[in-house]
Amino acid sequence: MLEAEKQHIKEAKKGSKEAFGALYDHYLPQIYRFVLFKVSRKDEAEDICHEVFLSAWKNMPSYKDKGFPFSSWLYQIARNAVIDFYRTSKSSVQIELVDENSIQLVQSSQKELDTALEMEMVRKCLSKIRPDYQDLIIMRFIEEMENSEIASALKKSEGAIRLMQHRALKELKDIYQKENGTDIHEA
Amino acid sequence: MEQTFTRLKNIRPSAEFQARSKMLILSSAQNQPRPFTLADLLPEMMQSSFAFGLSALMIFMMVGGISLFNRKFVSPAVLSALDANSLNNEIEKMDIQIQIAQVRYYENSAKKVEVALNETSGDALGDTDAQLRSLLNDSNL
Repeated sequence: MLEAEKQHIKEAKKGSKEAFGALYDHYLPQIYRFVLFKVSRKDEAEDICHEVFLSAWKNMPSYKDKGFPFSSWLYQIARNAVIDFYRTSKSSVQIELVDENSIQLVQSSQKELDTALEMEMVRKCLSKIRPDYQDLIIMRFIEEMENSEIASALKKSEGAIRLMQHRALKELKDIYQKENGTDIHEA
Repeated sequence: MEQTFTRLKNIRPSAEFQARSKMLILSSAQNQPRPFTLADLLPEMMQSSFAFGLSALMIFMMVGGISLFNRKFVSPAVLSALDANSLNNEIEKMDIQIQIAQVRYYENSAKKVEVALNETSGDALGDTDAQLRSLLNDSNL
């Protein structure tokens, strides 16, 4: 954890809006991506993200630094928020409903359009694997988090994370082959 | 695939949402931490006391406490032998028994000695009597 971040956390615990604002700006994009991959709708992802950071802000005074990254605490709140979301809304994930504006890429060329389609395919495949595997793939390969950080966010050991990672990739590969008819490595 | 994952990292929330959400969050009040109560301390106390208790039990077992425990609660007969009062009583009883046994021994041995003496002296006396009788008879004659 960076020294500046530690200082922000310390001040945010005391009620500093500026300090929490800095943490918010830093962590919102990755929490937003994580939630968006789980719910697939931009408006729902925004609502959940708002709830996550609101909960984090309200509970900052009771936050205890246990040596884990601050992000793992936010991910834990986000995971619970997503679970609550599905428990209350009972809605099913339909990748077709994903708002195209959620991917803010300039699709000005054929190559970029292909990339967007490819990403859409990955998202579709991700939505079909187990929720904990989804979390793992998003954290490890999209957010490029360390195994130790993922382990604390998912409340598992690093060994279990490595094993899950292997299985998650295999499952993703199988689904990708079924969906696409080609090997994932060829894509 | 890795490239695809990397590109997915470009997904970002809209600036409008980010600003609006941040403003709303920071305008709300934080929850105040609860005052420190015994209920907060109790789980930690339980945890530490459990650890101490377990350690004490392990040490107790290691120094042979279990055997003492067994003697005390499983074998009361063995333990009563270690009781000082009962030991004194037992020793006193033993003394009396020894004295009685000695008396009996002396009685028996005295009788035996008497019988033996009688036997030995009986023959001698018998002879003397016979000699005396023969002497008397001789003198009468």
